[in-house]
Amino acid sequence: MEREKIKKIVAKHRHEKAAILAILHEIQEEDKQLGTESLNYIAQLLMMPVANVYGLASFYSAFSLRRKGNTEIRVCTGISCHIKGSDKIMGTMKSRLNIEIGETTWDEKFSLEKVQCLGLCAIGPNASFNSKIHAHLDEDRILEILKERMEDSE
Amino acid sequence: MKIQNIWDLNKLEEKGIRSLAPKRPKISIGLSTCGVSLGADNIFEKMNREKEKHALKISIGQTGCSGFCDLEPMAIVRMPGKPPLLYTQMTVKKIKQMIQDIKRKKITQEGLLCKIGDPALPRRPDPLLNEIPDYQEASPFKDQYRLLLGNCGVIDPLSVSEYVAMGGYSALYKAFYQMSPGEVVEEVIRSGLRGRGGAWFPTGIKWDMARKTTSEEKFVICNADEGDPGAYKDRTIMEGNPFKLFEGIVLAGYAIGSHLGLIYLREEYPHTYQFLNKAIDIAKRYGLLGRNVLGSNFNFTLKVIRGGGSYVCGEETALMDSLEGEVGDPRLRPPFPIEKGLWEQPTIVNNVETLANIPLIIEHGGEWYAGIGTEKAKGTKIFSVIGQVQQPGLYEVPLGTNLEDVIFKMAGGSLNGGQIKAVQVGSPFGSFLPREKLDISLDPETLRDMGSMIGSGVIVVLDQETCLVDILLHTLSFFVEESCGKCAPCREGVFQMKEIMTAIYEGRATMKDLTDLIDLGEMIKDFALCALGGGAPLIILNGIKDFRKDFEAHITTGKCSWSS
Repeated sequence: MEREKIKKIVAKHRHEKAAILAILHEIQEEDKQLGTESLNYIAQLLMMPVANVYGLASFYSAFSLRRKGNTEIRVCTGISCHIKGSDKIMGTMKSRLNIEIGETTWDEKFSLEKVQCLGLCAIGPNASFNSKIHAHLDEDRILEILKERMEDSE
Repeated sequence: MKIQNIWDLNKLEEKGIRSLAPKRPKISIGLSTCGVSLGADNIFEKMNREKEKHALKISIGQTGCSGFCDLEPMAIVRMPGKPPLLYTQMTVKKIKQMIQDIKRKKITQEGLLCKIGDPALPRRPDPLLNEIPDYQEASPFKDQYRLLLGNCGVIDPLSVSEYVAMGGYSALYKAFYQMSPGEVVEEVIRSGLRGRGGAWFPTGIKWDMARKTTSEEKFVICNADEGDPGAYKDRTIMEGNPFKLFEGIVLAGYAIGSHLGLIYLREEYPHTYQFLNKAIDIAKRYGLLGRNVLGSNFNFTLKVIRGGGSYVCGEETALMDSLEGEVGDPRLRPPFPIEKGLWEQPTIVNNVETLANIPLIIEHGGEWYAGIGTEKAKGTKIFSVIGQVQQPGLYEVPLGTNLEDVIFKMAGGSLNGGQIKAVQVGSPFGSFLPREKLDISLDPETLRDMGSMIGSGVIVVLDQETCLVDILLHTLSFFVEESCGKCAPCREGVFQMKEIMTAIYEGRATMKDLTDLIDLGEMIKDFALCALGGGAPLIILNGIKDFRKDFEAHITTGKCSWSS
């Protein structure tokens, strides 16, 4: 990401070290990743060791050092969704997108993650596509949603 | 408009009553995360368009979720002179029909669940309405005691006036003008309220210790990291009645002498994050946060901070690390947060549900509150009943309610009408209880004595066709992924347990492996640093004890015949 943009975000948080999670969230949202250059620059601006910034970015599962897709898919694997068959949902996603958990498709359109629980346990299995959550999923519905998303992005 | 005094509050109450009992028909749609996931946003938009197109004399509003997400999108219909009517599983088509009916002053029957009688709003008796069951008598609300959830899914969560009309902010007003901070703490001690996040520590005692510290700066942290998979009660409160939570947080600040509150919200709730920020802005506009709250000389700032998707950060010391911009590592205690918490200052960390109880306690008194529940566990508790159950959802009942009553009477028993095999109270750490052990009182002491725990109140119901090895392996994987890695028993030990469990599940194991698994578990239980590491092996050990048949079937035949 351009240094100017990073500078702006860090300045918005008044160069406070404590706000680093918020800073990382905002950069990740914009850039879809926390690249090495970005992390180095954040460390420089906040006068922190690069290792610490890198440590945070790798500890918290919300952050990704690799570029995520334009559509970030997160499949809920909480206990309720597991009972209702989230394994199958994940399996369908993997095979249709031809990627593994934590990967992004070659055209950077989709990335696939698992999430511990989306907190919608009465209407599972669930998955979120960016900010949109789809509930009551089954394999057919997944294929339908992916098809729509693929057509939309063309 | 800033509320400065009791007259302002009364005026707002009147406005709220007008809004809850409007002169023209009003339809409110449930726009919580769950409602939106099931298409409520689409319905809301279409309705607004319809209204504009036909210049309809109908108001359109929003509400939260009642805790029964599978009944969403819900709609509340308010017609002049009639009690609000609650509708479930709305679609665009059904709403269109409803609008037609409203025009003809007819009551739509499709999807109608119940009427919401509200003693605050007097109405003429109407024979037409007698047939419709009351909120308190309609399943799934029947037999519940919805002190915290009663307004969720009924009022507009972003309307201060509707909250005030339901009795909101009278507790804060009472505290500011009639009680000293010490008296507020006294009242909370008298109530016997204990922390709902899972630790069940007496809230009043925590506050008392924090109040007595002399530090200039103190902090109130609201733990909204709701990380236990299966829990969504905090989200429902935050999205359904945020001002109740805010009122509780400000009361906590007043009680201990703190002027800054931080809500640590889990990253998995992006919708809630936007929503809470909106609600905070509104509260500020009304003078319910910020300078001179409610016209008093008390100042209070409230902020929402997003987490990073780490389960261990729900543990209070790791949570504070995270707020300071560090990796979340549980700290050794003592020192406790009330002595050295956030930035080394005295800090209280309370769960969302705990704080939402505070306005009730201050308004009605600690003694009243202590009259609900068991001898040692007071008040109501929200249980998240999920899994293979007929009616999943949030059930708020007095502590000490029988578990069988909750599962069979309220939630309707198993999903397919079959036998229930196991129930886990206090997921993910609570042990799976076999069918014959379900006739128990739901309170922390009873579950502790059974070698389990009540946790944050997640109840997972499993039927006969579920394989316990599969479920326990899934739970272990969760623990492995969420281990912070600080201590070896948890980092390496729980990982090895998962390896053995995987071998058992896949039929690659011997009986010797099962013995090893037990030995390993016993060791980790005693040597792990925090509750996460110590709790993980317990559920496996208890699982082997009660469901040995499942384990043996996997070891000898590679699968169990009863799972599909």
